[in-house]
Amino acid sequence: MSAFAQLVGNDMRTLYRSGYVWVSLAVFGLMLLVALQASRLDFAGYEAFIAAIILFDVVLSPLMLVGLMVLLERGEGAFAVLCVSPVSTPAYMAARVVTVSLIALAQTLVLVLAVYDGALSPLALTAGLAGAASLSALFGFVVIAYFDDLYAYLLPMIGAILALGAPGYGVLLGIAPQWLVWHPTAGALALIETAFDLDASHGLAGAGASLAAWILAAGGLAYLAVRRMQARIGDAS
Amino acid sequence: MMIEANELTFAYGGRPPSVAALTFSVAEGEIFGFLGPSGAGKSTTQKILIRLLRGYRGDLRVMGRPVKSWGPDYFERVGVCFELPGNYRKLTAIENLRFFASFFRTPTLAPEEVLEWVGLRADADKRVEQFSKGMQTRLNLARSLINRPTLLFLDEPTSGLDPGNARIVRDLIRRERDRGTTVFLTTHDMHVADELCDTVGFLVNGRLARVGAPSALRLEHSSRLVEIRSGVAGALRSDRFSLEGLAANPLFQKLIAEKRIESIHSLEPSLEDVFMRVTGERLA
Repeated sequence: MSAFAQLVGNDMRTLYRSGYVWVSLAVFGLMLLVALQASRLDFAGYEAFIAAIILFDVVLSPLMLVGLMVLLERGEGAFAVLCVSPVSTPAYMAARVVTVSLIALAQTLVLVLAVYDGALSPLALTAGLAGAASLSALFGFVVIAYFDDLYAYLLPMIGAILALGAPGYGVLLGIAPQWLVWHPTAGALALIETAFDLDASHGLAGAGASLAAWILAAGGLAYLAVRRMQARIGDAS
Repeated sequence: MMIEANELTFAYGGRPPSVAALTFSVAEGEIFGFLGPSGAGKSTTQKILIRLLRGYRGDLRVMGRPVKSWGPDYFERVGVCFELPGNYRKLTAIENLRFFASFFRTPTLAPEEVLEWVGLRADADKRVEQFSKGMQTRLNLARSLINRPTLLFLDEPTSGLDPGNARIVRDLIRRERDRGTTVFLTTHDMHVADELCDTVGFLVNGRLARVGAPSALRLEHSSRLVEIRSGVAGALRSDRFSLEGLAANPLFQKLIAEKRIESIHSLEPSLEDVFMRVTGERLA
């Protein structure tokens, strides 16, 4: 099995044995409850509301799980050992992004199936969700690089999740969408909204390009963040 | 040469250099001890050598290639054992070794065999969270040996071990050296260094004060005296003699002739004494 597959497998195993996957599922359960309650109401802009819930849900767990796992690995010294193994930094990061994004994607698809029975574009939905989850995971590396313990990480983590979900609930709060068009997850939200509104396929290319550009930028920032953590290995914290 | 450093200098940010103008070389198959008190620059040097720190100045070559030019394949041939444990605590010992072994393209040792070497075979299926610190330290060493490295970096390898397990680890390090592995050992434990190292370098305030074989350094700073303890009228007395003209010394001859000698010791300084004389610093 390749090193990448081993890393993904180990991440899954670590998430299960550390109990972090249950934390993620508990948070997802709450989101599902909110979405299910909302689906029983009849109000204008229901699709926009669901799209916002979906965006918030899909950016929540990747950032949280990446931070928790990196903290765990740094605390146990396993991060240091990985850094002096033949595994490259991009492979380590990619495996983690894939693992937590798959979990977020699976949870969010369950949520969509539970609360929406209209026509939708699976391709646009999957692209939007996967892009948003990857972005969230990559920003997870960026944020956790500045913290050494869980308690210090919690508030910034919540702040980062709220910031990443802003285009979704920003619309609900009455913020004009064009004000947030620059936002890292604006492209992902556009793809998710398009998935529910099959006629609104215009602007898809722009949304995809914006999302891809942000993923590249976040990947670069995450790489620098991991390098920063590597340079601090063995330093007194 | 396995490692060649020439004018190696590194500074964190705008701070004064942590290591400055280090020049040393490590031959293939030797145990090189990098000795110094906390904050001397040992860890910084090791972090540069294991590619965790970049942005150094000077020339640094390992296995004939500049360290900067190596990629992750560097670690196919290098093993690193940190002082602090580095294992997934929720995984068993054998799961940890299998996981880390899976990254190598080159053949690796059987995890069971390496665990046997460090006396952990019976604990292979225990989760690491159940291990004592000493067991985790030994598992660390086992993990660093799994790829049969050509170059092994060890940071305080006997720290936290009881005397029996410390001996197991020291024997294992010697065995690796005898197999041809080059060992770069950072420590502030002079006894470990004296017992294991073929060459030591004294590092103080980021500068290399002296490099040499421990025995040669001790001899160089020896007072060339011998201390003799002898029994006289039921009591022990101690006399010191210069090694110069010892055989012709009348008192020495008398003690030998009367067969009252209980012990004879040459008064060589310990490696720690030599370190203090050379650097003017204590090891802490």
